[in-house]
Parts: sequence; C-alpha cells; structure tokens
Amino acid sequence: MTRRGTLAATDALHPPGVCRTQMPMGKANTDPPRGAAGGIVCGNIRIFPPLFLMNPLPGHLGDMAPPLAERAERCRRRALDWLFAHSYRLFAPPLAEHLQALTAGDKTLDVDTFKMTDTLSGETLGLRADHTPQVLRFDRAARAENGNDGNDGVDNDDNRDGVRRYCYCGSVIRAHPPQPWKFREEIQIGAEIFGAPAPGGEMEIARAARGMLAAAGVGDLCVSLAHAGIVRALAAEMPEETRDEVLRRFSLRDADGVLAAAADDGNGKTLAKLCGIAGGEESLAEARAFLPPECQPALDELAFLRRELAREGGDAEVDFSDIGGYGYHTGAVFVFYAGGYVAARGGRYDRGESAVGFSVNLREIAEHLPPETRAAAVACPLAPDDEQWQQAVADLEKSGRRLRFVHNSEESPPPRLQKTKTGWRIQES
Amino acid sequence: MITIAVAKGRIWNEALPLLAELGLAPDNDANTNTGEESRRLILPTANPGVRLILTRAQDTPVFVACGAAQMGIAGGDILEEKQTADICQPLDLQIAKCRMVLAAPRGRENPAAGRPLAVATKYVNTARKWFAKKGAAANFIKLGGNMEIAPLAGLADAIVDLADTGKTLRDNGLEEKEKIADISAKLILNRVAARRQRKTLAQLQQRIAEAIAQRNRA
Repeated sequence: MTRRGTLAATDALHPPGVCRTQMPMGKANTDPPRGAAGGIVCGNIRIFPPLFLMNPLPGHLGDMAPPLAERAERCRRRALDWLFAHSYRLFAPPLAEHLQALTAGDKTLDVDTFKMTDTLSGETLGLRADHTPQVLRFDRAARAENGNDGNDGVDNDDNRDGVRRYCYCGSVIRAHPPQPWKFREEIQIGAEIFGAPAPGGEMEIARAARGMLAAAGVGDLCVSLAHAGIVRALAAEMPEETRDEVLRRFSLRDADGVLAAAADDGNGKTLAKLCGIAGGEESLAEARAFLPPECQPALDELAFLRRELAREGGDAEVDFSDIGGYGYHTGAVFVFYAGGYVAARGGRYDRGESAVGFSVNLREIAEHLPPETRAAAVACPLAPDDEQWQQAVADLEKSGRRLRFVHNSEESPPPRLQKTKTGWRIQES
Repeated sequence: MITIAVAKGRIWNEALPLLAELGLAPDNDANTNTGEESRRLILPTANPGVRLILTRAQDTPVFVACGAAQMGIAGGDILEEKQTADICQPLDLQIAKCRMVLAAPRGRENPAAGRPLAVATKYVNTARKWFAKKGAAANFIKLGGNMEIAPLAGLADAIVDLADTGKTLRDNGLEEKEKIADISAKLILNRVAARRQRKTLAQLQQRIAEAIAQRNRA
C-alpha cells in the first residue's frame, strides 16, 4: 500500500466528531515537534524541554486557536441574534457558584461538577457544568421579587402572558470528559422557556433549537424525539435502584437488560418492547397499540411535535430509547443530529416548575463547520501625518473591509492602499 | 459504507461464522495477499458496502461511540465495566458465552477473616457494584490479566474474572465461589448512526437476529 493509501485509510476511519487539530488528550498533543525545528540547540544536540513546559494545559482542556475560535465567535453572534429576534433575553451568570445551586440535587451533575473551597468564606463552590440550574435560580429569584404576574423583572413586555424566555452563552467545565476524546470545557449556548405548557412549549423550544442552529450555519439536520414521561410513568412503582438500572438499560435499547433489571415488575415487558421502537408515524402507532391509557397523551404530544418538525421536508423521527442527557427530563425530549454528531439536545423538565430548554456545544459545532473564505485584507502603509491618508483609512474602516497596517517598507501585494496623484486609493489588483 | 468493529480473540473467532452466514466474511484475498497471516486491522468483506475493523476487546465500544465504526461486536463484560455513552446495545448475539465469577483459593471458606476482602480484578466497576449490592466490604486491586496469580502470590484474597469451563481456575488452585453475571457478546450501534442510517442498520440488525434465531432452532 502506498503512503497515500495508508493515509486515506486512516482518514476514512476518522470519525467526524473527533477534533483533528487539537487532540484533547493531554499526552497526545505534548509530543515535541521532532520533525520540525524546536527545542533548544546545544552544539550538535537538540534538547527538548520537559513535556509540561511544551504543553502547560491540563488533560482534556485545550485552546481554541484561530480560525476555530473565530468560527465559534461568528456562530455565537449569529445564534444569539436569532434568539434575540425571537424574544429570548440574555442571562449571564457567574462561572463559579455555591455547589448546591449548580447541581440542584442532580447526582450526575454533582459528579460532573468541579468543586473547590472558597478561600473568602470557606464554603464549597463549584464551576458550572450546565447553565440550566443557574437559569432556574435566576427565574425563581426574579419571580419571588416581582410576583407571578407575568413580569419577571426583566425590563420589557415580552412576557406579559407569564412566559419567560432566557438564553445564555458561556463556558461550562466538567470534572470528567464526557468521552475519552472530548474536551472538558464546552462553550454552551442555549435557551429555556418557563411558563409555556405542553405541547406548545416543546414545539417553540425545538423550533428555536433548529432555527438557531440553521442561523449559526449548521445544515443537514435531523431530529430524534422521545418522551421521558412515558418511561418515568412505567417505572414509577419500581424501587429507586431498580428504576435507575431499568432506565439505563432502556436508553441503551437493551430489551433483555430491561427485562432482567425489572425482574418481576409488570411494566418491564412494556418497557422492553418500547425501547426498540424507532421510526416515523408508524412507530407511534405501534407504541399506541400496547401502551396503557395514561401514556396516550404523551404519544399525542410526540405525534404533534413530529408533525410540526417534519413540515417543509424536515427529517423528524421518534426513537423511544433516545432519552439521554442529564436525566432530569420529565416530558418530550429531542436530539438534533447534524452530520455525524449531536448538535443540540433538549426537552421538558420539572424542577419545581415545568420548563423547556435546549443546549448546544458551540465548540463542537465550530469544529464541524467548513472554513469560511475571507476576503484579503487591504494593506495600509503607515502615513499618519498625511491628512488624506487619515481620511482614506477612516473610509476603509467605515466600509467594513478588513485592513492590515504595514509596519515595514516591504511592498505588499494587492489589495493595498496606495498614494496616487489624486490621493490615497485602494489598488485592487 | 458501514464499518463494523469486532473485538479480537474469542469474540472474533466466534463472530466469523455468523458474519459469513450474512455474507460479511472478511475478503481472504485482500487479507492474505502474501500467503502469510495478515496483520491488517481494516478488512474488506464480500459486501463492498461493509468492512470490518479489528479492535482490542476493551476498545470496541470506544471505536463505535466515537463514530469510527457504526456497528460493533463487543463483550458484555466490557460494556458493563465501561458503560460507554453514545452507543446502544440492541441485540445479544449469544456467542462468546462465559460467566463472570468470584473465585478464591480452593477450600478457603473465609479468606479475609474479619477484614474487607482484597479482590484482584480487571472489572473494578462491575465488582464494586456487585459487592455494594450485597452489602459486603471489599477493596479492589486492578490488574490487567492473569488474575489467578494474585491469590497465590498473596496479593489478593479473591478474584473477579471471566470463567468458561473453569479449567484455568482449577489448574491454579482456585474455585468458583459465586456467579456474578452471565456474559456474552452484544451487537452495539453508534447512537448517531442508529438515527442517520436507521434503515440500513435496522435491516442488518434484523438479519443478524434472524441468523441467531435460526442457530437456536437448529
């Protein structure tokens, strides 16, 4: 096999969800550049400094270099603009908070939260692993302060009907990487709606996820729908330990495992049958045939959501086992897949108040987007004493074109700002 | 193109006849072009739309979860131990069957005598969960293999390991004390592929399920 062939084989195996340029594994990106110039040259010997000096970052944390960081920033601006245009108010909580406020009693979130002692107060603080508990805290506090009259203290009239919409964008840091090849830090962008009943709330938030992703430049989307309420209702009578294991097996589509974990519980068979059902309208009909009457409204919600999201050629299917995430969802849940990765995840949850929300890892999205071509910058030689030059630069800045000041006498290729008999002009070619 | 990751060793050996029944046997010409035993790890199959990759047993779920393979055949022991996210395991293939057991030196009824049991194992998470469920105290020593030596060398009181016929245990003076779980190989799917290539993967899964059912009938 040729070298080219070998590379092609490796490339074909490279999954789309794995960062190619910045390996998150601490050791993987600490290899000194032995093929290139690097290290300290001492006579004929090249000495490489200790690895921790080559890469001072802890494992599974990584810089976002240009152009990845620029792409992520462009996505963030477009995504937030879309959310602003749909009446979501931006909420920016601190990165560190009291541990309890960050975990809200969620076991998985608690394990995932970085913990530290506040030297100011001696209290245990955490770094947020998810924005949702902070949005909940803020909404609860705003309601306590302003009453439940539809005005949550936010200075606008978007929420006169008692529906509060928030969006957020910031870093979240996890104590453990979600997968061995992923980073522990995400740029999480998302939205939450409080006070919108089912199924309208679910429809609005799922449409928001789709619209925001599209605005950020993510294409080739398809959505998978499930309902955590059905699973919770069927497992409600089980002891807590059994229920946790049954739900884990259910989310793995492991029908035999569900049966074994449920032991003699009557709903074990129903859950085992349900976890393998996935598809379009026919899968809803199949589930409807054997699910008990109390689960029928949830199926109606899923049918409504699927129909709405499938409009205009949207690819929307039901997969009853796809109930992943933090496990706090209580109603309809959705996952948007783009290409070969999870682009957004969300749904209905109940933590003292029923709400719907979704979140997106902006970093992952930016890694998958194709690079954008940038127009060449206009090279501007420095002539600050020339008033015409000042005017030409001001005009250029006003035009929005990218410019680059040239600090040496070297002649730059066009486009460049050049002095002519009639003043400073842009030479395009 | 569908890529199937298969764990090397016993699972690979027992999966080959099943794959052959489905027309997915590795392409021998491509595999052994020099007449020697090939060391290639990416193998084309008789079906041009499907290829196999050979992985170490503990890595199979990782290759599937990260999307390098859409489908995989992995041991139930590894799946239970690692609990990898982003995969589903819809089918028990009923191959590479064995038991996960607690074993201790033959004739020693109370090896720990009043202190927590020292258990050598490759499956620390599974063993910890099992002991916790029983309400028994134990400390775990993670070893990579040849667990049977640990009690003989005084490193541990007992081991948690896989046993098939029990010969290795017997030959090393150990005996099975309790069965922890029945183990077999499972079909696993990448969660994203299960959605995006649902029809293709569901058809393949259906064919595999039918082949297993036919074997059970025979």
